[in-house]
Amino acid sequence: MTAMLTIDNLRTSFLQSGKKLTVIEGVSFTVEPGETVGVVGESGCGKSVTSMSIMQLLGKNVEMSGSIRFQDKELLTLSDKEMQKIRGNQIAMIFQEPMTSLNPLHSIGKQISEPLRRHLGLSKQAAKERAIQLLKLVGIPRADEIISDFPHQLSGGMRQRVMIAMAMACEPKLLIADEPTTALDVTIQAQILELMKKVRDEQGTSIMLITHDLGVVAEMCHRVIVMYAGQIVEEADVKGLFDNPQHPYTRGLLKSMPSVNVNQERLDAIPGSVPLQSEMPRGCRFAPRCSQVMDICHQKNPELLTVSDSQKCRCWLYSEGEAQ
Amino acid sequence: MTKPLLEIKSLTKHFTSKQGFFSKEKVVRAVDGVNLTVYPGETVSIVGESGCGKSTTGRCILRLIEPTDGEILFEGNDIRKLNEEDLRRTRRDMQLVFQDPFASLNPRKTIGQILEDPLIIHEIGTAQERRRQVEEMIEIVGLSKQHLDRFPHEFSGGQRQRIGIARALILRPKLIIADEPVSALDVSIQAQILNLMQDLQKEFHLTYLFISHDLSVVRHISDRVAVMYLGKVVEVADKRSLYEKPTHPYTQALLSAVPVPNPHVTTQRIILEGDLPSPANPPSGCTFHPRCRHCMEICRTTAPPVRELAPDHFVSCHLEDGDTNGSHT
Repeated sequence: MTAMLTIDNLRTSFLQSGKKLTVIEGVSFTVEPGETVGVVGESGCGKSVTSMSIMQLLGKNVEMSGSIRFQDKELLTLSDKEMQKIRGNQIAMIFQEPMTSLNPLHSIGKQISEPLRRHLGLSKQAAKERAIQLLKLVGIPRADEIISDFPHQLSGGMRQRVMIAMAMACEPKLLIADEPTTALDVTIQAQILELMKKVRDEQGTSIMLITHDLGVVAEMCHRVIVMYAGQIVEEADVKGLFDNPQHPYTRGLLKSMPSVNVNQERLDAIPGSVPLQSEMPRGCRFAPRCSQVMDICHQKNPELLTVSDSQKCRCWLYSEGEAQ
Repeated sequence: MTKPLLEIKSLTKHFTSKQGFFSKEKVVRAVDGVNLTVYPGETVSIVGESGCGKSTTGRCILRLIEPTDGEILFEGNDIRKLNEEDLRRTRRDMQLVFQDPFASLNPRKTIGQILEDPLIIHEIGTAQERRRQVEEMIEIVGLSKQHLDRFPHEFSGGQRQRIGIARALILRPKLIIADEPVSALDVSIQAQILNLMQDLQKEFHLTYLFISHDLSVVRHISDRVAVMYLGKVVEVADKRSLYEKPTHPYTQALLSAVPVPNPHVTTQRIILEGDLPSPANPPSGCTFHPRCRHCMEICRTTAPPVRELAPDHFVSCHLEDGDTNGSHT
């Protein structure tokens, strides 16, 4: 079976006033059919740029190399026209901010109908009927009335439901969800996660879920990719990641979270902060903040190595032979 | 028994809005009769979802928003009765730390100026003494003297929040109201700031009123927690009883909704139906009744009284003890 999405050695750079800033540095991973892969990391780690690279939404001043294959199709060499046929049709995206990602000037109905008419060639009437069905599917009450409402008339949770309805309109094979619940309150987040699970299980959609919330990861994902400063530092199945985290950054991240179930005296914070794009350390990018740092870490950046059947890690601690 | 540092009695803030010339005035009950007591040295958190009135409560306490009604007693004096001059003097003892470290620092002032301003306003010390205090404070929050001549844009989110805390602390206040101080920060930075706040609390004997929507952060930092829903406090208890024996159906739903970072656990989730009702048009009786799993006849008509379940554990619900505990584990 071919993977739904195969990313191989992706590099994404922004060109800014003659300078080249490489934001994604050799990222490779796959998303299998029906699988939910979480991408976690802190702001600036490149998780959103990865997703925008897949969708090719980064605009003009961008240089991408490597390969992004959707099933058998290479996306990086597609023309804009060809990409438009895939975007919103076979690959759909949900954004973080449901307010700014819906068009305030068009009714909900019109916005959901657009991909249906464009990609599936439905008539106006048929698209409207399908839009109402979709709104019902995502649990919006009074769907036949809401369809003529405008985004500002809906609450944040409702808007995110509309976004999901829109993304699911053409029954995409791959859904990229970029922080889909971050702007929502916890009780609404619970509703939306429940909904995403339901849609996934009914339609067998593959999901790439970008989030900074490890709770959401534990709940939704089968496999997890941890990113730091534009690189993957660890890849693991979800149980492996939480039971047996390998990379010092992953461990630090898990330890620095306060828990809702246990009382802790003090949190184990990771010292320092993420390095600036322009001031990347020469060796391992996490070395300046790492509690287990060694000499070699400052000199050479480690490779992403397989440490067990289901786990990969980019750290000198796991490649002793080379380290000495 | 120690005297409370801050006592809020039936605090109310109604915003009125008029949409058209002839239309009736609309009243938004942002804060609707909140009672809360904060003792010296403790951390009390107000937790709730957006629109529940937690930030408005915080701002009313400092009179940054004029409350509509109620009493705010700070060390026994009603802040609402103070004139401008006395209010300014009292505010020296109560400072605010804001959520957005990007929007709450003046971009045209250096860090040194930002930190010195409160001292100038309150006419403290000579220029030299002020400089010394500023230098001392910047190091207390984990930055260095060299940072004083830089501008806010040169700092990361976590560093800016340290500066925000330094500005609040420089007057050596007794009470710090922190409105979502860590919600704009990444987890690893959030942990640094929470640790800093705890260290400072010990060092300066601070009292915190901590406002947050994040139940994990609240559990970590608080001694006591108040849960707000639609402008009202629905449950107050010490941290342990609130998290281990939540009694109000809203508290239970809220706690069960938090995703647990453990893939082996499947939470028995209480999914609340629908959205938060508008505070302009709150439901009758108990304002939570349209979303409550245990809604009874009386809930639709009568607002529930506040009952003391155990010492220091107050809940505002018609259900009798133990009714709701069976379904929550």
